[in-house]
Amino acid sequence: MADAWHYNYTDFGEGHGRSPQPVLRAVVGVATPGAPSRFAAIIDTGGPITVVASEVLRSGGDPVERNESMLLRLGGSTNEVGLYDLTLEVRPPASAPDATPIAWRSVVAVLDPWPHHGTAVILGQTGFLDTFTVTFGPDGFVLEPASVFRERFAQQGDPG
Amino acid sequence: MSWCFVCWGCPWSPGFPGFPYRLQSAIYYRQPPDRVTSNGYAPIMVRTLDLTPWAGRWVAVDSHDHVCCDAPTLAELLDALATAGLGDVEVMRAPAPDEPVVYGLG
Repeated sequence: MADAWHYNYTDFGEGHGRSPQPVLRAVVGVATPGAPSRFAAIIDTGGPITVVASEVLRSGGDPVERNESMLLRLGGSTNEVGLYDLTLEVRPPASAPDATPIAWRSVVAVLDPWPHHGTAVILGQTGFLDTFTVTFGPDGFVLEPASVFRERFAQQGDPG
Repeated sequence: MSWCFVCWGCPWSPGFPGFPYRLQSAIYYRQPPDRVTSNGYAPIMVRTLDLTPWAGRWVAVDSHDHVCCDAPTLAELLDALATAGLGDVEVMRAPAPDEPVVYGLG
């Protein structure tokens, strides 16, 4: 990832007729390495961990079960979800079609059946925000390596 | 922009004299001073998908944002994609009209 990847927000058409503004989501294309298709993945800055549908595991990514679980509330219900090590790659935005996807391996929570009315991947703190610098602006968001944040704000951490 | 007259006299109504200026300003103008757009976002910078005909179904969208495959479940869609070999498509679910807007993980 030599350059910052600039993405537009996505309007899936949620809440039309009710919301005062379109509901805009920060969505990137995520896939298991080499898979022809990708999953629309919502970046959830409040999410503690990346969560995927079990179908995502079946598409590749060398999933390895960690024999650990956690309680997670998703889709209005609380579930005990299994944790896996999984390799995913984020695909570049439409504005950078020649850029190479960036792969990373991390822990994901796998929920089956998938209750979320949206995408099959939700990118959270563990498994995404600990790997990339994501900058949100009013008209779009930017994905960069984690090192960018450390360089930009070196030694400016919260002393408290 | 219209307001409900039932609560017009409520202290939290935008018409009430004591209504906090900052909130009132946000509601009426919706435009921070450093913004160049008038309606809260720049439409040209938003990827708008019209998935209404596929409401509630899982869909595969091509690079032109056209739906090229759909199925009632994610598993069925992935099976169909494996068979069809459509190449680089993006998988998502079309929202249904009556579904609430989900906050984060919901």
